[in-house]
Amino acid sequence: MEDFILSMKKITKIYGNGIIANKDVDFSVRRGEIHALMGENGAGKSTLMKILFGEDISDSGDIEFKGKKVLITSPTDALRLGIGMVHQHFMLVPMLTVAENIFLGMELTHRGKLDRKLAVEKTEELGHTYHFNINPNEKISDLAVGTRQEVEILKALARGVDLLILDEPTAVLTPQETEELFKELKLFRKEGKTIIFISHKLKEVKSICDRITIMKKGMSVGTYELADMGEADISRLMIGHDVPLTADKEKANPGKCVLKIRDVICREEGKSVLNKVSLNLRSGEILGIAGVEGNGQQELAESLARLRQTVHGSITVNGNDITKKNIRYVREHGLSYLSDDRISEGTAPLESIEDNIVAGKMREESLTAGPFLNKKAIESFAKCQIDNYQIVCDSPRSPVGMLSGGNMQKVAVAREFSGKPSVMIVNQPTRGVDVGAMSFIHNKLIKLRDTGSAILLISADLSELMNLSDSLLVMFDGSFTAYFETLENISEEEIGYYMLGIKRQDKKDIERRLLRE
Amino acid sequence: MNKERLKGSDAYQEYKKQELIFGMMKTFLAVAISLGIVFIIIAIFSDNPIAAAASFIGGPFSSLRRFGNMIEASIPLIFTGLAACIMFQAQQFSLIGDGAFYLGPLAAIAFSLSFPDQGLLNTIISILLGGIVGAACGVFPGFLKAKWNTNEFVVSMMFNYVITFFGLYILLNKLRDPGSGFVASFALSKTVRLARIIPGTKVHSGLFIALAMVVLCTVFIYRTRFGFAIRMTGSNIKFARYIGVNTFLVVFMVQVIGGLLAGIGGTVELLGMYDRYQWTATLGLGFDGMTVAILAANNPALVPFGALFLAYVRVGTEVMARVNNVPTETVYLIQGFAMLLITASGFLVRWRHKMTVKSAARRAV
Repeated sequence: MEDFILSMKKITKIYGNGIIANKDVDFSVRRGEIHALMGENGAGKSTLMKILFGEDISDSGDIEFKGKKVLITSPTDALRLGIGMVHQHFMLVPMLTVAENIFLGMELTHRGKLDRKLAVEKTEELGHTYHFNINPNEKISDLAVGTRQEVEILKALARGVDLLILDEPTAVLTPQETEELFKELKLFRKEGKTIIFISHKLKEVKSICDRITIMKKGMSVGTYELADMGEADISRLMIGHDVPLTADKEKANPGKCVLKIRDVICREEGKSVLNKVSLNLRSGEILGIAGVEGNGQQELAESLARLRQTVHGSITVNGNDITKKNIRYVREHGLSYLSDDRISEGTAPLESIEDNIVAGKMREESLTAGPFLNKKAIESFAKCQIDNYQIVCDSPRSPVGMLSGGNMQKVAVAREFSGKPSVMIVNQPTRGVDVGAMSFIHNKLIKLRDTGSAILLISADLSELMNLSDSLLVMFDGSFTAYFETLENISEEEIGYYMLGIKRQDKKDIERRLLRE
Repeated sequence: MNKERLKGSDAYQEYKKQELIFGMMKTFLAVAISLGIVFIIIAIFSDNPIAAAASFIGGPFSSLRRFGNMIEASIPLIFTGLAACIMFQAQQFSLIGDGAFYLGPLAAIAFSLSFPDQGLLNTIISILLGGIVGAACGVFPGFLKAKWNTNEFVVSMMFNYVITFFGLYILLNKLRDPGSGFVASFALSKTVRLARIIPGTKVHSGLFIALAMVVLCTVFIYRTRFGFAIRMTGSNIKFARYIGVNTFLVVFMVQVIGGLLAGIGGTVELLGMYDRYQWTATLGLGFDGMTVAILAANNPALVPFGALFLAYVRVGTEVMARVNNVPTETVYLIQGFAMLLITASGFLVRWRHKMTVKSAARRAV
């Protein structure tokens, strides 16, 4: 008899917009295993986990935990039972210390007063037990992403959880940090804890998990022993057909320099977040920018898109200085920006697909008639883009928020790429996007390069960068620590060292090679 | 693939249909429940509750004059409703319509009294001037919001006091007719006033101006570039900024446009219904406009219906108050309860969810 810590039976969840997120899903996890949960975006993984953690309530179905039928209607219930979850977007208070965050909501008190000393001691004790090297008195805002994640995990452990759900924990980590995390996870397994590991990365799942459950279109495809499975098998089960895991591309054929950045400085709260950054970008090439999140990539992208003010330096696009210009000017002069946050910035989720695709193109004569909109032209343009980008939707008029993550991203991509920009700034183009949509977007990106656009690709996903970039920059602490003209013979581990600032190339040398015409 | 798309399209149609039914049911039920509450109140206050209720429901249609009353009352509501719609579309909750509705006509009458013998030309210029002064009222709260992100609701509300006392100063010191027994301006020339269009009522040609504005605003919001910018700003201001919309201009302009519409509305009301300017305080039409806009789900094309409904309830209660001994204040009770229920987003969601689950399950079979 197998020892299941959790079994979810016939879980069905239908969302308010009529989408069936889960349909009769069965999901069982053995005690003490690391169980992978994979599936394309919109396959229903997150919904299933939200139901387990009490953030959503199922329309039908039962949950059995530790052999007893349980009713989970809130995260409080889940935590009381011993189920914890670490979200993809951390739920920490940046202004509070590590210890304060860990004991938030279950504060330790002494005669009705907060006992800070005891909290610090307990945190140290916890860190010691699980081999986390953490200073309880540090503020969250001062910590690196990897450390913040450790705090999240400790927060769950402090509540005595036996089952820990990790939602794409490695999406924001360097290879080194990932390895560190995996060591910790293996330790938890040894201690008898059970882990559910959600990820889009086949390699990682293969290396650490015992079993895998694959979801597709709201249903469970099945649960398998990972020992019997290859990466290709998994992706076939997820998508239903074979997807090339690496994009095909010809060697780049760079043209003239279209984007020049010189000594750009950007400050936030008095701190330099961009420190005299310079680069040249030529048409027909993809320049990748690697780095742990929070090292200036976001600020660089936003400075180029004019969403952020620079305090020093110049940025020229096709010979026009844009440092003092507004967003509309920059867009009209051939620079386009794909935002990393498709929900709060990259789209207007409540508006129609049609409106989202033509947004920002209101100066184009083909879509307008004087101050008026040319409805017919807009309709046919949107239809054409929906076909071209294979956006799966009910109607061009349905709201973007109803689409799955991958299709939502395709809407944003369609809008930005269809203008045939001469400079395309791409920020995390496939974050949280399923493998099918990812490969589609990658191919479109290469096609855009081949038609002569200059592409600056910022991504936290190293394999994406390795796959697409013609040359690669590594950012650390607001400046470049490495420049690779070609990606042949360079390993992800090597790049990881530059991302962490352990290794650095000479700054002068980088600029000499980078700024040639 | 094609077949699947088709099926998907059906699903979308069904979703749209359900949304429509849901929206209508929600408004209808909200109104019905609030009416129910009012009838309970009537039953408590009135000696003859059934007659009172009957006079409330049938009152506005009991005579041509009362029917006219309802139409008359809806005209200013259309204007301030449109003003609120435009501002709501950009997510700006400003009360500037209230102040603009008060000050615009004051400027118009000052002009009109200075050039009394111009007839139609005087009317046209008066209305335009009222609109311009109304728009000017929106400049202050609009700029403050756009530039420093102040709260437009608070600023416009406070600014309305400034407007009111400034207007009162002008009225009492420059325009007051000492021969009048109450506070009022000199009388308007008859040639300037808007023509009556239905004999036996006071319904005036301002109705046509109001309906023209409805068409203009609908086209403006849904068919122009700037309307598109307004909608995107209201839907997601970060997104609007990101795609290159000048959100400063949008946030500023919607309050100016709101002021413009309310200013025109105030002037039309004055020229259509009164022969002297006699308002010594704002009339609260900025708030009423918001009510109308909510009833119309921010769609300018639906504003006349929202305005008509509100006017119907108003006239109904007035008739009831006159015929029976029920206080007119009950109208505010109905309005209050209806708004509470319509805006309460959680109201009926369980029912809506059941509807979704049912149809999704049916499709899945």
